[in-house]
Amino acid sequence: MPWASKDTLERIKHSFRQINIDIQPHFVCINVEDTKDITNILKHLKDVEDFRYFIDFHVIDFPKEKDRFLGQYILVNPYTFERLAVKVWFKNNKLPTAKEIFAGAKWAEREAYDMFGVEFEGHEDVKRMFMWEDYKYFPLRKDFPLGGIPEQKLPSLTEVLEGNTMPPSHDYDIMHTYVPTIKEIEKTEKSRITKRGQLVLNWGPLHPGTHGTMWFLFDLEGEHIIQTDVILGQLHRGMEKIAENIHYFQFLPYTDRMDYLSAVCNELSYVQAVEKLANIEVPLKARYIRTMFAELQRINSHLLWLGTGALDLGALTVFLYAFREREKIMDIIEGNAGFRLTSAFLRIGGVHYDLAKGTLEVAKYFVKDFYSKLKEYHGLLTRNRIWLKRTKDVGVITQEDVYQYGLTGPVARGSGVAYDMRKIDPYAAYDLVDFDIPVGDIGDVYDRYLVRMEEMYQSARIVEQCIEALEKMPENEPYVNKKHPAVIPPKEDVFNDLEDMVKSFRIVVHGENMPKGEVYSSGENPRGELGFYIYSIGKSSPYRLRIRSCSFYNLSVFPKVIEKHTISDAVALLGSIDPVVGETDR
Amino acid sequence: MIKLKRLRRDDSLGPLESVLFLDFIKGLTITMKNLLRKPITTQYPKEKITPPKRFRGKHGHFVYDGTEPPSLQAIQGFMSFEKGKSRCVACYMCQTACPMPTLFRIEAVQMPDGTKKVVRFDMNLLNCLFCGLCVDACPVECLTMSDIHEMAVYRRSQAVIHMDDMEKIGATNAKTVRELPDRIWRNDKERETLWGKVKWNF
Amino acid sequence: MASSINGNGFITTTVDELLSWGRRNALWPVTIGLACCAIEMMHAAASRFDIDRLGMIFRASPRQADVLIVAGTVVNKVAPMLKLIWDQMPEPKWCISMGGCASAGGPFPTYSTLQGVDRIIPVDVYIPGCPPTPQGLIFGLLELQRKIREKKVTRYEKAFEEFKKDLSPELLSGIGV
Repeated sequence: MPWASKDTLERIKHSFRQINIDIQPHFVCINVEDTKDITNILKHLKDVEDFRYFIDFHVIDFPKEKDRFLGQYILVNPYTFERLAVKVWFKNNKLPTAKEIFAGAKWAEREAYDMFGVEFEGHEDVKRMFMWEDYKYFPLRKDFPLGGIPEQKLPSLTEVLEGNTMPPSHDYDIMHTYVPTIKEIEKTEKSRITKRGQLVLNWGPLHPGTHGTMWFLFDLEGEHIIQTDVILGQLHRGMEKIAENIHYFQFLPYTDRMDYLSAVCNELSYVQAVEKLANIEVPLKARYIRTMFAELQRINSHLLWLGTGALDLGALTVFLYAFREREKIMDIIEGNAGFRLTSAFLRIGGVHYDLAKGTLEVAKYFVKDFYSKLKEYHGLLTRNRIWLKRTKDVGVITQEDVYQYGLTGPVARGSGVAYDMRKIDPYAAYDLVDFDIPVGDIGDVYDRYLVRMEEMYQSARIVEQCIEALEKMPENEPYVNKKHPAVIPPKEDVFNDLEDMVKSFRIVVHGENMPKGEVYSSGENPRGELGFYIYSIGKSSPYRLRIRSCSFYNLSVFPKVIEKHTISDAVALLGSIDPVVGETDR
Repeated sequence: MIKLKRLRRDDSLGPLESVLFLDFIKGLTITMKNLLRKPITTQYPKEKITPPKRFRGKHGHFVYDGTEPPSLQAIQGFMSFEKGKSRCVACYMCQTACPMPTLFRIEAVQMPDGTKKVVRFDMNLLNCLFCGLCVDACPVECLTMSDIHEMAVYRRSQAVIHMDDMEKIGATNAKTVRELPDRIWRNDKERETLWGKVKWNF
Repeated sequence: MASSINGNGFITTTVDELLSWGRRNALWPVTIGLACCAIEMMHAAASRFDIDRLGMIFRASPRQADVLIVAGTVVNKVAPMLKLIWDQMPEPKWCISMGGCASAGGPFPTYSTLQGVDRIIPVDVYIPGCPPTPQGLIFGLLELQRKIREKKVTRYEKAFEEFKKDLSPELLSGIGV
């Protein structure tokens, strides 16, 4: 059971006088009244009450209140698995920093400065996270427009070369937001690191070896790294700001494009959060279908990790074999949802279509074949002496690092912390199927490799059990909950029934007003815990949607672990952390 | 009760394995076995893979030819339709349901006898997410998605589709797709190069 | 002799056709994979839809490549770096923008996205789709090959014009140009 129990809250209320406790069905938080007390409260929660696992920190903007910004921490107790939120108002846009208590708060505070313009006492010289250094505005404030402020004239070069003067399409605009020059980018790069060694090497923004557009700066002494820094923001598309302007059901295709390797798992976390807010119950068949597709996408994502991780370290054949299996899974998903990669398959209240005829036979054939292919991958890599030399005892992450930096997923399980949201707070059909969780003990790259290979085997077991359950169900079971007022009815009903047509018209045009309140709900992505926090004021679009992304916090441990190692170890460590840039930058 | 599985690490090679290179020989036998399997390549311009029935490709409009659903027959009196042309009723639901506000451009005029007629229906495919929310919102089964996925163009203005191309797609391509049975794949023979023979139960 | 080489005589057009056949059947792309479209590009390069049959090898360095395939959303922060890579490629060179985000900003009309990569680089082929299927990408590459066949290698002629400007008139009349 995920939220803090009544005994814990009583004990906290006895120790501190000036707090209020707020209990909602899916959100429990402590309101701190005086800003100066926050450091003492966090230290007490961490040392005495054992809430030592840092999950998230974010800011909400209320332009009409006296102190404009509200900061919020989310903490977890890793022994009893209880979760608690702590809220505090900023005073004159300032707050004491939390980076001495939880080291993972350093990156979260930099992101809050970049997006809102708030400052932290004790965290001097805070730098921007996503935008470049001389950027003048703070994007997530409520008075900044979504399209930015168009400042310069930037026509399309193909039209200029052909000599056209008519606009090529009905929404073409010559005025564009400000694009930085090379000098401003260089200024950002030089301000990040002060050189102490012989040479500063760029592992550049557009390099085929990093998994996406990340920018690493290495300060080298010979071949060994003295200090390093990561520059993010090369794929920052502003998804949290888009969510404040559109309805809840329209945001669903955007969640596919965050962690683009496992699209159905992202949609599942988002749809769970909205269903908890509006109290919608999902029928049984839809739960089994969602579980089956989420586990197939988990196998998909781990196969890509295997192919590209081995490719970076020199094993070139595994890449082609892994992509052959990925094509098979994409065929199954294309036959049901319609698209290979970014399939908008789930809907609020159920799934979009029923399963197509023949899916269960094809899926059974795939799973039977997959066990023998998994043995082949083990035979190629697991006891190979070159692989062992490159991955054993490289990049060791301790248990204390896991709690301080907020690492989740296979990175945490490889170091011995058994934290898996599918078992702690079961959603979809995970409480009806039987599987194990693999846990390692040293925490090096070899352990994380073994954990992910074992997870692929367990996912195949879950898919087999879901297929058995779906075969036994009768033909015309419902796959979407039609009776709830916030769910759009399926197409056949809209054509034949007048009431359903009016209901669909009302939801699409005006939007369905969700009840007021807050909710935080998270699901287990292949990379870690993906959480959605929704603050709703009773309208049809959220007031603030915060995406707690797993790859962002997983990547923040990289500068600490890589000190005194060589560059080739940096490549192996990055492959085993497995970040996806669409999710770190959103 | 969380069921954990502590992993067993045998991470050092025994003396026999390291002298006789047994780990390399095992890896090479796996590669040799894959060398003798048939290739799974689909040679693109000569052999193509047809997308399944639910594929979301280029958009099309169904035409007014007698196969309309009951929801259209209720408001038929307010519109002026021609046989063979699109059956759009200019309700603007697709434009409202789309996450991108500037993708559609729809204009309708009032005829002298009081009915409505749609004169302009433009979609800019370069901004489209291909999510299918507009097709779900259309109440009269007019807007649909066909299985055309080869859409490369030389200029930006060629990627904007108008009502006459969409009617042509709706009359030919999308109509064949609508009549197909709801199976997972359309053509089993094309997929056999990758999958081998699959046993069907029906 | 001078007139038949200068104005399109028999020898220059056959050499032109040979050059354009060679260039279009061995296009070497640079790997600029930014976001989701990069995954479909990897699938087009894997075993099921092999683009190595068409003569394309992915090169990591821009100085050894001729085609720039921009796959994924281009953000304002990355735009000057992309322009730097385009300037480092030697002539003749072409550009394909794959997907909706690279062509016209796609579904992200926000403060930090560049609305189409053709605002900084001239583009030859646009491929809509989010993401386009690998068959759609190979169709786009075949359209680029058709464009090279029909328009010949005009940028080669432009380079030849620049070359002629640097030489002195006596030398030029000596070779008969």
